[in-house]
Amino acid sequence: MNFNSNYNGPQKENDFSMLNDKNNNLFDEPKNDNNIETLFLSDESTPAMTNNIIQESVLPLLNNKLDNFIIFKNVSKIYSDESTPVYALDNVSFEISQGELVVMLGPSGAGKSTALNALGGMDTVSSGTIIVDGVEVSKCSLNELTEFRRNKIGFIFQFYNLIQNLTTIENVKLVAELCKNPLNSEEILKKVGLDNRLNNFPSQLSGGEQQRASVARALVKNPKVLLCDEPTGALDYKTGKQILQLLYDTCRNNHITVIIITHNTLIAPIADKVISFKSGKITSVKINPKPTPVGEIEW
Amino acid sequence: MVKEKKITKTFFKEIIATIKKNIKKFVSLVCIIFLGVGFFAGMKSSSPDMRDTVSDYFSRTNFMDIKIVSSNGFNDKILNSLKEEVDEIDTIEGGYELDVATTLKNTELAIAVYGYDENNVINKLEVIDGRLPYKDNECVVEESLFHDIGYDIGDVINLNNSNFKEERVTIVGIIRSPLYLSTDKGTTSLLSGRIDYYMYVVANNFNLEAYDVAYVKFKNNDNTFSSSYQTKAYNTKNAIKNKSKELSSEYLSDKINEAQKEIDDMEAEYNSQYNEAQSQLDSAESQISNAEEQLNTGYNQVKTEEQIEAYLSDLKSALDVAKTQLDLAKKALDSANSEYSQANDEISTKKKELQSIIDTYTKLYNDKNCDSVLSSGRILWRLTCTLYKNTIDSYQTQLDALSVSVDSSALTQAQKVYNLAYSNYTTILAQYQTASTTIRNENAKLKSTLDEQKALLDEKKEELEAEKTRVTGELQTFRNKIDDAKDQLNLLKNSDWYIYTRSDNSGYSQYYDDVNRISNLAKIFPIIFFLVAVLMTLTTISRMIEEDRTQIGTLKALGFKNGQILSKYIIYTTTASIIGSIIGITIGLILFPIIFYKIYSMMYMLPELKLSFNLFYSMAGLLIALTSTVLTAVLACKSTLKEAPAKLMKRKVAKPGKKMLLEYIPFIWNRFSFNRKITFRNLFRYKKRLIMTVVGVAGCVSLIIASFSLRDAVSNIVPDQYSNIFSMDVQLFYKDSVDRNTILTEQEYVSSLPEVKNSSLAHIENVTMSLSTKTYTVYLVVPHDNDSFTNMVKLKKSASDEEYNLSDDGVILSQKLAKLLNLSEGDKFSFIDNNGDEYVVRVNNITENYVEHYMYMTPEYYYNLTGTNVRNNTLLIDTDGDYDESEFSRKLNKNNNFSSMIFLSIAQETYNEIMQNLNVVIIVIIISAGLLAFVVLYNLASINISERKSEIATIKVLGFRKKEVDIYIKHEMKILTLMGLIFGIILSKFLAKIIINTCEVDSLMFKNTIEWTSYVVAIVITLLFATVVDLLIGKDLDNIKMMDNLKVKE
Repeated sequence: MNFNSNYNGPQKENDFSMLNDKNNNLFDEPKNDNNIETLFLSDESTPAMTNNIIQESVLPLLNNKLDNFIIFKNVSKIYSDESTPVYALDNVSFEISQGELVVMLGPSGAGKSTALNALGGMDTVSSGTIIVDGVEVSKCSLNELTEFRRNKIGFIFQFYNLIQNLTTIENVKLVAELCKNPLNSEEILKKVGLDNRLNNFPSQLSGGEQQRASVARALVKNPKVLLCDEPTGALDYKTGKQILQLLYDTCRNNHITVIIITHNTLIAPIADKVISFKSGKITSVKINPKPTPVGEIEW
Repeated sequence: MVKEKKITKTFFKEIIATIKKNIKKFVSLVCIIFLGVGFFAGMKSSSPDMRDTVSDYFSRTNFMDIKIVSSNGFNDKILNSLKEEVDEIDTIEGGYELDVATTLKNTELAIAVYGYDENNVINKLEVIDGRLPYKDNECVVEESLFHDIGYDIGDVINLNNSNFKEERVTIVGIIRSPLYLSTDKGTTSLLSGRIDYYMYVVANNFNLEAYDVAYVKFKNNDNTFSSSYQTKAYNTKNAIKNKSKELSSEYLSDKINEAQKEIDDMEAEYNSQYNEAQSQLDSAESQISNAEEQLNTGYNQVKTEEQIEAYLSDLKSALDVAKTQLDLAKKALDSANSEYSQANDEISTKKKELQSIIDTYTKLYNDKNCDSVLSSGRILWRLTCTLYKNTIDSYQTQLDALSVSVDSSALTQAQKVYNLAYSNYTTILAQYQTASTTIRNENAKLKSTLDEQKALLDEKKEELEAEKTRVTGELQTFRNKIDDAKDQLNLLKNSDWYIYTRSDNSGYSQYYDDVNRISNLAKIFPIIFFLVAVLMTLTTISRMIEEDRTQIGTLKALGFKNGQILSKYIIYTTTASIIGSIIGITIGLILFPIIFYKIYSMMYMLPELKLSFNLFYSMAGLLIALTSTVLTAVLACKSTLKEAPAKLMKRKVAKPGKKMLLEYIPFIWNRFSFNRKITFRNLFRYKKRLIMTVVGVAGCVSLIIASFSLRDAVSNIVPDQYSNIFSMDVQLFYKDSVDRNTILTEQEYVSSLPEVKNSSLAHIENVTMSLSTKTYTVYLVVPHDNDSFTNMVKLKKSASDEEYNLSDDGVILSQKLAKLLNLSEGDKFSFIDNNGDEYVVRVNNITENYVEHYMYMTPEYYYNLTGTNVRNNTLLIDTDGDYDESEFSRKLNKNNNFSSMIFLSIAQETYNEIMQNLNVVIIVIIISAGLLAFVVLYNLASINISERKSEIATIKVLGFRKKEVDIYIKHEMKILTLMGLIFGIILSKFLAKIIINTCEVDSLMFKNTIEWTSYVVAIVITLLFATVVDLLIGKDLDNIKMMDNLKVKE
């Protein structure tokens, strides 16, 4: 369980430098005695990498399939029921690789939520193509979208949206029952540090605990993409950071594409890619070769 | 100022926008209010309308307040005195009324004929067609006479009664009289005991010397249905009664005196006749007894055989002596004779012998020259001749000797003696016979003379007896006449006036009760409806305000005053209430009275319904609707407004989850799937909603079942009565003139018809039984023979197979009657017959019965009660197979001994028609209840959804398929509906009982059972509506947009 603090992820596209870096003990066998993959530890501990993960993150790099994981192409969403049409999304295009941590920035009403919703198959678009993991979301029927969401998407809300009538473990199990190969609910909850809150109702949990439960719920179905709409919006600074850490670790360790929406620009540095929105258009797509660790950012 | 105006304008725009945006919600609120208010106002105003229509009718026609009937009649003088002496009387009129039995189109009917005078102000007639009569040979009739019998204006009716100047009257119009409100027209002593129709002829057509009926109107018109009127009527009735004796005896005093004088004269006449007869009788009798005496003396002189013998005894003895002597002499003679003859015989024998010898000798001698003799030389001949000669000589000698010995003197002597004796005897005999003959003849003569006289005397005696009988008979007849006259006099002296108030008019009191029934119904149904409706509005409005939380918070933050914010909701709810109430009142006030009136028109002869706008109930309904909705809005809003704007604008913290009781039983809980766990938790989390759904659905379901139960109770009456209780098919009523023998022979004839299976004779009459102010008409049935009667009517215990037998110590009453009079087995009660006589009976058993009232008793009991032997005036028959009714009825009445025949199948049909109409009411109620259930379910379901929009959106996001989302919500609804159903079914039993008791009319018995089909239909209807709600909810669920509901709107 070594942590290579030098590793900063791919510096740029097609950067294989790290492969050649002999100093890089990326390929060292990890000195862990137990074979169980521990994905997460509690708040203060650090993630570890294993061969599997490397395999998973490197091979796709080699295979050059990186950037085709999520494709947004000329997507527009127009609301025409007002007197003047409103362009929530105006000919938006971007691409996201698998395993990327993306932050979507922009002021209120910029279109980031719209893009996220469209991506997650929760909303339709007026024109354009959206492909996620080979699925042409923009052309899917409602039922197909439901299946898509069921199996491939994990969603995290600003206000957690846990089922009030179910306990923590039940909230997670509810979702676990939906998919074919769920992860173990208790394990997941343990990993987010809620093993002593399994049988409490959401009303009995703090904000941070609720969001963590929310994350556990999202992850239990082992999704391909994790969509987070202002995950820290309702949380205080410290708790918010914990959640971000969790998301960050998820992304890295599980090779899950994580997309975070926020209007807090100070969060942006943790991302691999930052997409900025304004008035329904993308103003910039920034690649971050060296994402800042969560612990180091302040807002 | 301008700013405020702008705000107000936008404010209203906002309100209208709110309504438009959620038009479904607004409409459903309006619907709930309309149903509640409509039902409430409609039902509550039905009975007032029905009462007012009749009240109005009564005042238009100036319906009498009191009717006085007297067999002795009234004259104007009495009526005027009465008016003066009893305060309350404003108007009093005399009239004529007579019941006649006449044949109309081959049916014998009992018709009540009234006198019409155009000067009459009381009991005015309403003309339906044609005109009122003014000539003596004209008449007007009631409507049903037209329909039922098939008469037309211009047809002639023969009254067949000498009390009318013109017996044949022509129909000139159809009228309606306020005296008859009900199709039950009262009883009579004629024919079958019920009045069939009424009609009016001109008063002048009556041949009566005095009015036989008088009508009274009070001063100061109170509402006829009010209690102050009842009191007034009762008091006036008593006042009249108190005056009646005085007045009537005044009127009759002359008559009484006259009658008394007549009686006295008759008594005197009787006495003199009696005395005369008596003296004649005495003299005749004494004559006879004298004659008898003489006769007796005569008879005493008649000699008996013994006496005659005694009288002749001397002669007889002399005769005997002579006879004896004669016999002796005869004997001697005979013996002498015999001796003599013996001797003579000897001689003659000898002589004969001699002769023969001589003959032989002669012959021989003569043969001397014969050959044979010559041949023998006459030697033998000479010898033989010598022999013969010797013999002859011997014989001659003997003969001579004998002749000498015969002595004839003894004989002669004996003969002499005998002759003497004989003549002696004959002489005495002659004497004796003469004496005997003489005396016997004399005796016989005497006897026969006496016998003749006796015969005469007997004849005379007989004549006397006959005369006696005749005279006694005549005297007795006279006596009876005097007694009758005395009875009449007593009647005159004790003349009773029969005084009737409006409550004694059966139509009026029935109608009054029936209308009360409806108003009782109106106490229950609308309340339930309204309750459910109010509950629904409560939830809808609180929900609405809930949803507007953030908006309210925003408005508050913007600086709007609480009052202004509140006003939005007040306006919204007021608008909905007013629109709903207006629609409800309009439809309800028209629909319900019309429905009820139509039904009751079947059993009454009512004028047109007068609909009136019942301000009180309309306003009450509107106010209740308004208050409940506005109050809810205000309360809910106020509690929201209390909170700080910031808090309002934040999301409302969802109600926390909690462990429910069932969770503590892991055995069960752990077996539940997620969905089930969620469903259960949700059910018990929102307790208010749980209760309201269950109560709402239960209320509607129980209403439906109870309504069905009412319909079943109503529609089962006919089959139950006419198949289970009555097995008879036809009732035949004998004419009054048919004698008892003919009754029996007619029964034999009818039984012989092939269509007739069984027959049974009975005596049936109408009597009345009363309890406080209520009077009921009862059929008194006296079966001739119990065994055959059981083929016609089943007397049995209710809801059991136990059958009852009539016994001689009590009666059997029908169950409704027993219920109305509060009687149970062993109780005693009285009834009054047609003649006004009251009898007390003991109730032995109470029998199952559904239609009308019956009292059954044996002939012995009847005799013990009344002292008369029943006349079996009815023949009940039970038929077999198919037959044509009109042909069969002709066969039945071939001998024309029946005055009327009732085919029970027709009675069934009539009742069926009445029941059909009641069905309409019930269907209306069922539909309304169903609609209400639908509205309840939909409302609560949509509230359910709207409260949990974010939850539903979340699970959609999580990837719940449409079906899974549906199940998430719908399972709850299904369980709630089911619980509502179950509660409703339980509740329905109580509700059914209440409704049936309320709606039951006096003459019918409703069975309080609920058929399983009612449950099934109610369940099906509920499930049907639940399914429709399901579909609608499905659409609503689909319409929940995920993203809209998960974020606070930016």
